[in-house]
Amino acid sequence: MTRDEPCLGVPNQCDLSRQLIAQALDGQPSVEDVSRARIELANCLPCVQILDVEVQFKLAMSQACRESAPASLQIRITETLQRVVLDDLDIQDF
Amino acid sequence: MADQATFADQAMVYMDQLYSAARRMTRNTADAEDLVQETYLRAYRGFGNFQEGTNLRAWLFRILTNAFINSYRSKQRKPQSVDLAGVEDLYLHQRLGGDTKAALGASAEDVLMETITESEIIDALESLPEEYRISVLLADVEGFAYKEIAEILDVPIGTVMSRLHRGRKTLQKRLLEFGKTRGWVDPPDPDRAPAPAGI
Repeated sequence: MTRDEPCLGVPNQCDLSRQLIAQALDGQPSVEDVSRARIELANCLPCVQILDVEVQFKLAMSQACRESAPASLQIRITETLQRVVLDDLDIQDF
Repeated sequence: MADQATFADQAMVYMDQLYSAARRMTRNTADAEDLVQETYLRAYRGFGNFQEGTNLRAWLFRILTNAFINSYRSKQRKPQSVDLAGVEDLYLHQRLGGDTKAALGASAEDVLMETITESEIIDALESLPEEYRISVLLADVEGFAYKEIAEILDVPIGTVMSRLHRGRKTLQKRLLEFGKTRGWVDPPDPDRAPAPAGI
């Protein structure tokens, strides 16, 4: 199936929906990307539902896992960078 | 070539993001702090080779990921056993069915997602095997594009897509289990025909 062909309403077997949903989830989904995908999937309600759930899931993940670094860590790293002598570092595996 | 004198100005703004990722990778605070500090030291040392104008954030995450894999992975406690079987067929919207969905209307998925707590989402993510956990972390928490993740992990983009798919489905399976305990999700129908290979 190509993007020029309509979705047949079989979400698990539909290459078009797979492609559109994957594109919509690539990076940080914009409202425009998701809206465009919903319009293109409009003939297939299950595909739209999958898209919506996947987007919700991605947003929930992003919100749940955000943490601020402790102030003490920021201070520690800043001070370390200020006094670091490069030749004394034993650093590998870039 | 980047000027090391400008390193702190450019790189320190990403500390919260690096720390969040380090927390999920190492699953404990002390290791996460050490990992972030090591990342900054490595990055500072290598900043002279960083190509100004390219993606500094992705470069820092690549260093973080490599540092974790090389230095911290071996001492991590083993994750809880996670069953990856059957996740290909899992679709949340299909499992929010029957009376539950009728009672809740079209927003059953919304209700489930709103009911799951942040700590449950974190637990589910941290229970994933490492390769899936890091891929989902980079894609869904940090918002990196598939191509960037492939570069950070130094794997083909197809591998990224595969890990993301299985990782996301496994997470959703865990969330469904939480949902079942609250009665939001119908129990699986043993007579239900297996769905074809999924998205």
